[in-house]
Amino acid sequence: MGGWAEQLINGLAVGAVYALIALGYTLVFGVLRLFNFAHCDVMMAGAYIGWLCAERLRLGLLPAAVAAAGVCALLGLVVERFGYRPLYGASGMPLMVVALGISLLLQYTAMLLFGAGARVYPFGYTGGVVRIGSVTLPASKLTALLLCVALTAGLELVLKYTRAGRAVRAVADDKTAARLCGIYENRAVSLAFVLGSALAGISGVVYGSMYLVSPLMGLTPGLKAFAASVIGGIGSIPGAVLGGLALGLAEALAGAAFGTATKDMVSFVLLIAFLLLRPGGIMNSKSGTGRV
Amino acid sequence: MHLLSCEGITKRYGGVTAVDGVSLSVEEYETLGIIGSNGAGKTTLFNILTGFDRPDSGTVTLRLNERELQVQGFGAFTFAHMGVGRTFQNLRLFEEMTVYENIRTAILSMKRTEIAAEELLKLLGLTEQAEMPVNKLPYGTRKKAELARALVCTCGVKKGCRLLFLDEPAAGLTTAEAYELALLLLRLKKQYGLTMVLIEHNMAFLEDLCSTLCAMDEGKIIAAGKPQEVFSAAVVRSAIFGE
Repeated sequence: MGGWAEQLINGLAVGAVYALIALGYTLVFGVLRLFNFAHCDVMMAGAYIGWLCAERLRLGLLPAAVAAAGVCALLGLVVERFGYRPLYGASGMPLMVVALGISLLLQYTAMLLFGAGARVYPFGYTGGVVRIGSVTLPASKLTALLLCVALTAGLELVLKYTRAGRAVRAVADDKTAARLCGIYENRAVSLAFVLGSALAGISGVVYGSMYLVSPLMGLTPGLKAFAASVIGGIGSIPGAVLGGLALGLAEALAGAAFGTATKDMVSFVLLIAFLLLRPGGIMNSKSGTGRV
Repeated sequence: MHLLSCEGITKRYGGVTAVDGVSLSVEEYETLGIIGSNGAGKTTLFNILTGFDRPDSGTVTLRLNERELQVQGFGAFTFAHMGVGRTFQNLRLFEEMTVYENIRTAILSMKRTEIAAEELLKLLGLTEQAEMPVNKLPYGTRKKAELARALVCTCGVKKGCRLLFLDEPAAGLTTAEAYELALLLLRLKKQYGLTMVLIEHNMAFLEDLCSTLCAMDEGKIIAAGKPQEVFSAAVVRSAIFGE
């Protein structure tokens, strides 16, 4: 019983990281109809910022997460302003090529700065273990879950109740109508990048503290988060969270039942199944058009 | 005094000339109607006059704070902040938001607004539907919601030019709804001192509302003047009414 409960929490914790990354994909897709494949490398940058804060500056998890969020938000802003904005109005392919180019640029910059080898957060960085009855859980997993819940709620509040958040929702819903209302589209797109990248930075710290930090670390969770956002319903914030958690859970349960080798397979089998049977994902009944 | 004028507006899409050397002017507090069969160039002209499209040649002049500004090439975003509001033939509402959120989003995007969402909801009889998502509302109510949102820019911008463009406002409405809308627009015009430009196929609706009409055919203005004069012009009867 205890083993399955641990697997459940493990799955939800990894799913929470997927969800945080998927939120960034969803925000950017909402306003730009673009899968920002450089997003997972922004998460990698966040993991390195967190590692620097933890290892060199001896900062705790929260200040490290805040620093990673800040640096990654700035990085997201630069990527949007200088990478994508000159190509607005072009078809999807040039933007996709730029996304891949930025992804490689970030990976090789990390390699140049930190080397190709993996780095590890200090032992016990996210706390020890928590015991609930007979179940022993690593504190890092619970932290990931709590952060996911808090950040998703915070993001919903920002998008629903702030002027800038409403502008992002308006641009995601209908760009023409947004211009008609005097909303400056580019500013809303920048904000979507900033918010998404800040979340990626935080998820980088959480993921990095659970596993290893390396220049190519973003690839696997990035692909899983992409699958999660499609499964949840691309463009939908609750969908991204639901997709992430469901994917994490499915992986953990498959791993426990059939061995760890099946973990990755489950994610992509689910992705293919959703694309074939329900292309709009869990939250969108129709073929997803993307909304925030 | 002209509030809006355009001179020699031409717009081509490939080999098709959608608008061909159109010149017109709109006086302050006037209601100008534009008629024409489908493909006459009415919506293209509207798009140019509201910043959604750029003309290939010609000028658009808007009077704002006693100054005349050449605004061709300005984006719709800038027009909105100058007090130009617009509705679309095919409704462009934020479908995932409620009626209130649609209006509030427009209010929040303006730097200084002199209008409150509650005031607009009451004025347009939308108070009961305020918290409903717009995609769940009947067509007539959705049209009112879009009009309410357009009024935010038209009436809410401080020292704005209070110019409202309506693209087929009565389309899809019953006769009673169209009559009710005409009365509402007259009331709004009086209350806020609006200048209106509208495209419409419902001639009775236009007759009730407009002081001046322009008839378009193949991208050109073929007649302009008082509604009865335009309706009875031989060129209009032939090109638009097929007589």
